[in-house]
Amino acid sequence: MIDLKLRDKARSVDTVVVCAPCPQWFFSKKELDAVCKGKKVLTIPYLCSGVKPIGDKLKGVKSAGVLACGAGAQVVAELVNDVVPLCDSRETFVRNPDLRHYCFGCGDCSIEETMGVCVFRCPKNMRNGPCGGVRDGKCEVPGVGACVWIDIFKKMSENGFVLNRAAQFERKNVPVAKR
Amino acid sequence: MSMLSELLKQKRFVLTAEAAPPRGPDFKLFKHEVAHMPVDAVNVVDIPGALLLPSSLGTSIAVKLESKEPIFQLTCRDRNVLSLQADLISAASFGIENVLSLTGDHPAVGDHPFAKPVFEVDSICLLQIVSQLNKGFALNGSKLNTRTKFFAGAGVSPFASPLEPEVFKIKKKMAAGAQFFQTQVVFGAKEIEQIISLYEKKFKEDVASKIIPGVIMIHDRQLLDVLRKLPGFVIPDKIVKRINSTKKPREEAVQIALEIADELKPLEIGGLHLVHCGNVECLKNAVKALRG
Ligand code: SF4
Ligand code: SF4
Repeated sequence: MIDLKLRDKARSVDTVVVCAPCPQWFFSKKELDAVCKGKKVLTIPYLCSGVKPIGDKLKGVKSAGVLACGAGAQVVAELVNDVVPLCDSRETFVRNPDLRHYCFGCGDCSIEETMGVCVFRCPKNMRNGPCGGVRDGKCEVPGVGACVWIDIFKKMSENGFVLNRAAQFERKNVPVAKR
Repeated sequence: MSMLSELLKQKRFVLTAEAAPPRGPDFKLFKHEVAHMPVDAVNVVDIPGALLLPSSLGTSIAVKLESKEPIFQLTCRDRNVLSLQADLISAASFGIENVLSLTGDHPAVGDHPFAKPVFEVDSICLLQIVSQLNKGFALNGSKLNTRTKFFAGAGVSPFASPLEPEVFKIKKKMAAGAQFFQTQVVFGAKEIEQIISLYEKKFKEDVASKIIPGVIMIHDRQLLDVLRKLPGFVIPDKIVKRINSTKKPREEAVQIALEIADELKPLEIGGLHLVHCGNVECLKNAVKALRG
């Protein structure tokens, strides 16, 4: 089930990426139109299949609000720097098995706080930065591979967040699992 | 007021030691050892490395009953926010004041790899919970019959790489209420120096006096072999050689620890955390030498 959440921040995005026809939506056409009003709208089917099918459809997009599950929003974030999830996922139904761990449907999607990467991809659910066990950017838990937080931190650094906007990194407690 | 907080405030060089709870319900020997630890406070570990031991709350109470000041280590691995708060309030009722907030190791690396990892919050959220209890409120805003008086600390990992995020996390931990920091064991001053200088350059404030680095005393060869097999635990060759070639491993272990302490002292750190690996004699000798 995907609920619509209208965030203040959504006002700042120039594009809305709509994942259609996702059968999991739980909001009406009317609500949808209200969000998309005045924005460029791109409809891309099944974002949760991964970045490959998207091709260059998102080229030139600077900031995107995403109407999709958390996994779909994270896929968009791999191509666009500034991504705001406009939905809360409460279940997961990700098509691409390699992306199943992207979202567990916490119901409080906050990936815009962490450069479009969900912190729950960390096996220890770290919400405030990498744990002390990270070595050479790799997760301390066997079999996990790259540490998601190092990915987030790198993206933050590249975008001047860490250097100029430390406060962004110092934000606390995102997200709160409501499930 | 916790003694540890007083000593740190007065910039007296504090000495803490680590007390691993015994491997079973017989606490006789443990209590006897704790009673003879000549340090300012005793860290009670919370199922370290996800290897089963008695609970840190129960063991901290045992330490307290021996008239020693415990540092109650609390991890987020095995408890949700209800359980975390319940343990904290219970600890407060026994007069336990020092709390070290940690996220904890993942059960996958421990001796019960099938155990459910909880991790509902992380160490920074836990510090916020402690601060909230100190104001007299539970996480949901309900009022406690009196406020707790916790002196909260957190961990710093000098071996995290990249290191920069760790420096930001120190700042976040302070904002969340951490007033002292303990580190894993180090074998030289390099890593601690790096963290302090990165932090002080970035945030232009003192952190050194809040840091208590860990120093280990590897007092026999068997222990050395066990430690070398631990994932992520790297002992420099020079030290391995010294332990392997000496005829008096205990004296050598203390000597090595004192040399590392000498390297660390010029950094104006808050004190030292001595990991004596169960050998109280070593601890006593090291403390005697350090106290002069
Ligand atoms: S924050 Fe929640 S909804 Fe968003 S991707 Fe992560 S688990 Fe999914
Ligand atoms: S190393 Fe990174 S991904 Fe792994 S548990 Fe720590 S913070 Fe999470």
